[in-house]
Amino acid sequence: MAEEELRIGVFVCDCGLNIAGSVDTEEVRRWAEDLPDVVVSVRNKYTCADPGQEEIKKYIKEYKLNRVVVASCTPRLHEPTFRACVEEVGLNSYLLEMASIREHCSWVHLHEREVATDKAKDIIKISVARARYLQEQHEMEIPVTNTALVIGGGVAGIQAALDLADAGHPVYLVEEQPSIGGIMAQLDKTFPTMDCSICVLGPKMMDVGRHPRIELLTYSTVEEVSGYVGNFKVRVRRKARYVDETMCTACDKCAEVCPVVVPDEFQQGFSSRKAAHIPFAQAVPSSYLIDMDNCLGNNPIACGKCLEACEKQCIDLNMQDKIVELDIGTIIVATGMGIYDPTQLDEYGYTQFDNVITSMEFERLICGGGPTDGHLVRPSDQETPKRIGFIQCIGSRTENRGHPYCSNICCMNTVKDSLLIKEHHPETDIYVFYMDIRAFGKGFEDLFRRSKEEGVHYIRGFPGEITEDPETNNLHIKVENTTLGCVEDYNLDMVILSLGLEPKEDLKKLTNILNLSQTSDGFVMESHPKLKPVDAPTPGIFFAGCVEAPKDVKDSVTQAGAAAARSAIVLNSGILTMEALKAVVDFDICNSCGVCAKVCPYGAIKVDVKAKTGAQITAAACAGCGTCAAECRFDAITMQHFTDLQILAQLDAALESEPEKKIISFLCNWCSYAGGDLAGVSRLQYPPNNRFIRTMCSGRVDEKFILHAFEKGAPIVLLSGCHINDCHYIDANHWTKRRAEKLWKRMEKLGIRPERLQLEWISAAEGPRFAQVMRELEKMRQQVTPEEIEQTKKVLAEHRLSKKKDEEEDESSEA
Amino acid sequence: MFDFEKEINYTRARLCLDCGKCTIVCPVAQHDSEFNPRLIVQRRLVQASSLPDDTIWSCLSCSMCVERCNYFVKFPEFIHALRAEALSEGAQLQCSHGGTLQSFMHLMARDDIHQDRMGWLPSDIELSEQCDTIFFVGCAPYFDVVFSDLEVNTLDGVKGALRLLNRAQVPFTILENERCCGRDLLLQGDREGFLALAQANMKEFSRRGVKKIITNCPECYYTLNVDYPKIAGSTGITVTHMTKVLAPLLRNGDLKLGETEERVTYHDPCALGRGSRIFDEPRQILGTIANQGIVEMEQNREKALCCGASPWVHCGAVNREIQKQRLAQAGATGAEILVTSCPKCQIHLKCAQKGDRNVTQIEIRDLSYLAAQSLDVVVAQ
Amino acid sequence: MNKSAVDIIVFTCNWDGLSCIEAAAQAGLQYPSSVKVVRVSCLSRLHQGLILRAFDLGADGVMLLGCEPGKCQFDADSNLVAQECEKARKVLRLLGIEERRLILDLTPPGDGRGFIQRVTNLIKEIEQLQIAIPTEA
Repeated sequence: MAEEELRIGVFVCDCGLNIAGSVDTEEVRRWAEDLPDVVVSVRNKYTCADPGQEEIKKYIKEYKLNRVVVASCTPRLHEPTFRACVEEVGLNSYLLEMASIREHCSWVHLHEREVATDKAKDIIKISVARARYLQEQHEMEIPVTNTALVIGGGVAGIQAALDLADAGHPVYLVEEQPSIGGIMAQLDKTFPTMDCSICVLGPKMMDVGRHPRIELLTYSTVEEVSGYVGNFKVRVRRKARYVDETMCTACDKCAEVCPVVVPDEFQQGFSSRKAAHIPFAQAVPSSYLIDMDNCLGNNPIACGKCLEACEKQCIDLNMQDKIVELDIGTIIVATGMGIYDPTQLDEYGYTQFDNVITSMEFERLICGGGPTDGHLVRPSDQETPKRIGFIQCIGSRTENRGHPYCSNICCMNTVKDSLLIKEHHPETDIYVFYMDIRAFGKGFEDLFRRSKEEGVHYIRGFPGEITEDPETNNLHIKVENTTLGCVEDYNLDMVILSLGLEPKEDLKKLTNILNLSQTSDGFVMESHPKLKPVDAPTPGIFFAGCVEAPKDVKDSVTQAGAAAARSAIVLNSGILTMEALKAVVDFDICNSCGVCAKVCPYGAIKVDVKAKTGAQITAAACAGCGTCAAECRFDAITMQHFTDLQILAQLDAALESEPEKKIISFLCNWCSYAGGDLAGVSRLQYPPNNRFIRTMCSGRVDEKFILHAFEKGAPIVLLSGCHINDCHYIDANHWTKRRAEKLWKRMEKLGIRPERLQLEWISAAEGPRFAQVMRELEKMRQQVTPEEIEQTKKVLAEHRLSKKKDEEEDESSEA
Repeated sequence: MFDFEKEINYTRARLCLDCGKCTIVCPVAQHDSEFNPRLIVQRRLVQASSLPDDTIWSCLSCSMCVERCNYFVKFPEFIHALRAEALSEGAQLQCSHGGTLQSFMHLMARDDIHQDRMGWLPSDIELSEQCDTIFFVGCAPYFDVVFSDLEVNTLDGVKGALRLLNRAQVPFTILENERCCGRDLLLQGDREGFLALAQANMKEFSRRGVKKIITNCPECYYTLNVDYPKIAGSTGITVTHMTKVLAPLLRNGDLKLGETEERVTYHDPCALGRGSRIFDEPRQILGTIANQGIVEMEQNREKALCCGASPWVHCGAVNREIQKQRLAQAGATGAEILVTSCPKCQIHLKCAQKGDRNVTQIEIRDLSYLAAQSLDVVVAQ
Repeated sequence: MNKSAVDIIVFTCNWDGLSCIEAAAQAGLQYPSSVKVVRVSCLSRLHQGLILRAFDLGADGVMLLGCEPGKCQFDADSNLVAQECEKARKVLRLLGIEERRLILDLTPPGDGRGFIQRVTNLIKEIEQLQIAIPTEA
């Protein structure tokens, strides 16, 4: 690239009195004129207002500016404004740099005009230094395949598929079971309205089945996903059902003749089905299938009765699994949840006592479509139970055999169940053993109240054990009634364990396929728990239903709608524009060591360490955190717009004069820098010695930046990012932490006090903490003596010379 | 100043869900409606300063509550802290046996005490003098003097263990001036007393370059394995229980035991079972000896009922009831021998048998002793 | 008064044991102030624990002073105290503490001189042991 002459324009903003009140902006403007390559320095009352913007445009044209530095507020506020402004006159928007002299200067040094003015100069100097190394960047445009994939055909998946298809987008709905419907299809009634579950779900299932834009792939699993937002390639395995679902008329003839009888999963094992079967009456697709695990086999001597019985000849016992490849724009994950298995809670005797049943089993026992036609009987003797107990929080709110979280739905489910029993048999005595009844949703408290009015007894305390009378199969419960503080005994006919929900057993497999993360409770991790609750951190992937967290039908449907809408935004766009913050590999230097691929939170880098063909970065999948560039010890990766050159130039500018008085703080854009902004907005005053270097992620901060700062005489360096597990780039800050820990060790070896490098996690909400950290850093700075700084500079200069050797050693020790 | 906040954090007491499961499974609460583990925690958490709570002395530290607790609140340790706090505020211990045990434990902690720790050692036991593995004898020699009325011979278990080790050619030695491990002092809230004993022992371990410790007493095992590292950090010493040594020897055929015709049941000592999760090894050993198999009591393994032992304080009617209950469970199995591996279990159950001739007079025997006795059968064959 | 570095606890019964001590006092016989007398109604009240407790609390020697066999006011069997004393001795032996530090003195009533002589002997003997019981670490 031909070296162009640098022509930088600096625009200093008064921001009314917001800046000018504490900073002598005219003095700053005049001073900036003398900075290298600055051809014009302008002061403006409100730079962001129309006249201010007009002025920028005017000067760009007049002075042929090819870099613009706006010294005003935080880039988090007006960078988009000024980028658009410079673009209008043909200047590439990435040639704009902002100097935050409001949030990080005038507002936090309100009463020290001279000090604030000096600091503002320094901030502008740092920005100009960076601006000199800015490069034009071109945002990437990627085409979007207008097709969505919904994984999981429970109520959430059904709703998401219908919403997207109704909005005009083609949808593939993949369900691993032979029918869609999910857990909701097994429920009798739903709370709080007590309407029949299958009656409201059934029509939606049929809508899916006949929707022209939905292709339903049941009995199918997603095996592989590659690509990126707008351009996913998905491999789906369609398991053989041995019945051609397009031909089957559900005449039941195959099942009539099938000799194999096995427990019916849909009825929770309370009744039986044949090997040739339909999952349940309302199944969609309405087709039988043959359960090959139990089928006597494709051997006419052994059986083959179904083949004869099927008039339409749609049974093919030689059918094979099929693999289909799909081109997909967006993916909605709606694979639902698992249900806690209470076997290990042996004090409740689920496996020993017939009359201890689970809440799922109860749903089938009370359901008109269930094994007893809705007559509530207990398993041991088929008698109607007169005294029934519910035990809450089975597998929930515990670290001892179960999960620590609240499962969200079990309280209301029990309240609903208690009313169902009272509806059928009002004379039944019902006891609910609970710790807290969480009835927080619309209509929930009403339902709870109705249950109490019906005479359901709510007893606060968890039973310690259940024993059975072997004669009668009645159950004896001992519980401390904790409201009374006394031990009580109950003789019951049946006990229902109110089971908690848990992540699906094989969720890990799917998160690996999709490169998603799980939160500590095992459910999938959202992009942001509040503001992007249905987005995966990976662009183009969305969540609906219980895969994200336990929730009820209504919340699942709501979330499905949200996921569909979020998905439609991408699908509708046709073309996606992506910020040009991308990592780029220099293949001349890259030696295919694979470290970058290991640290990339998005799996956007592939390295064939054997073939040594260099790191391949899928630009569309790169989110721009820069961790790879920081970890690459050969400097083969350039993080565009946050390059080594830019950052080193910022450090040089910051530490050019009186370095011993400066604290260098590396702040991540999303949390720590924003925390600094909040400290500014809140006018929290702190010492003026800090100089901020913004990176998108703390993961970008290369160890060489930190050592460079020390070598240039910085007494203290702060490395700050989002709290662990809150990282904007999934988990890139884990690498930050690791890097800091390594660096501390190295500093110790070099005889540099490790405390001089501080690592702090500061969130965007922690303005006061940000100011506090700044104050503490200043205290630490005062402890660093000039001799110490000199010694460090000397050691690091020597160290830099022998660095190559060090790295070799590192490499061998790591190997 | 007693830092109770630290104790609360350590024991996770604030995580108490207030669900009352502990009250149901607590053996003391079953016999004493005044004793309520949940309320002991709740009362102490809401009260800024401690008020005297007399029920704290009844806890057996059996850990049954922890087994069931949703959040593993360390209730026994919470109780120990409450006791330590009460003692620091001048509470008086009600010592059982006239305080004999407390007295000899304190005397043992003295700096230049020179015990007679070898007098009981049978001449046919071979010690490997310079060995860095020691067999930690525990208080059995003292118990057998103090409880001579009960005709407990807890040294039989120790001697049995030593014979087994000799037979299997596992080298070990014994310390001439071993102290009590201090567990009972720790349990009763006497932290200073515990610390003095622990430090004296640890000093001796490091002086002798001890690498490995074998114990027969489950209480010693738990204390050396769990509590000592808490004071000293990692001691670098492997602590193992006799059953953990024995079971693999039997599995690999390095040791052969004889058989007994008698029907046996096994009583899990709290420190070994719930405390150290050693449930299988004792049963494996017993399984090879008892040719009629083991008949389990109604409450076994994780749910095993405590023998009713207190750390030699505030022993009373409730303890006796629990002991009787346990003996009744043993009786109901039809077994002829109740086997256990804890001297304290033997003492307490025998005490109940002696105190009331109506309770099951099942024979109580130490597991290592039983195993060692079976060696004679092998020889005879 | 002459002072000894040897602390002695004398457990005495309320009857013949105490009568010796009172007789000594009435006769103006002297014994060191480091000898402390603890009165119990009968030596059968004593338990090995109490004896050991005295050592635990720092006593260098313990004397059990009571009625001669068959002379007990309560018709208690003097074997009871003998047994407890023997158990305590055994524990002392295990601890490596000289058994001579514990003596059982069953005496006829009113023998003040005998009491003084025996308690003085005990002190002398302990002094000769030279190695005092180590104080708490």
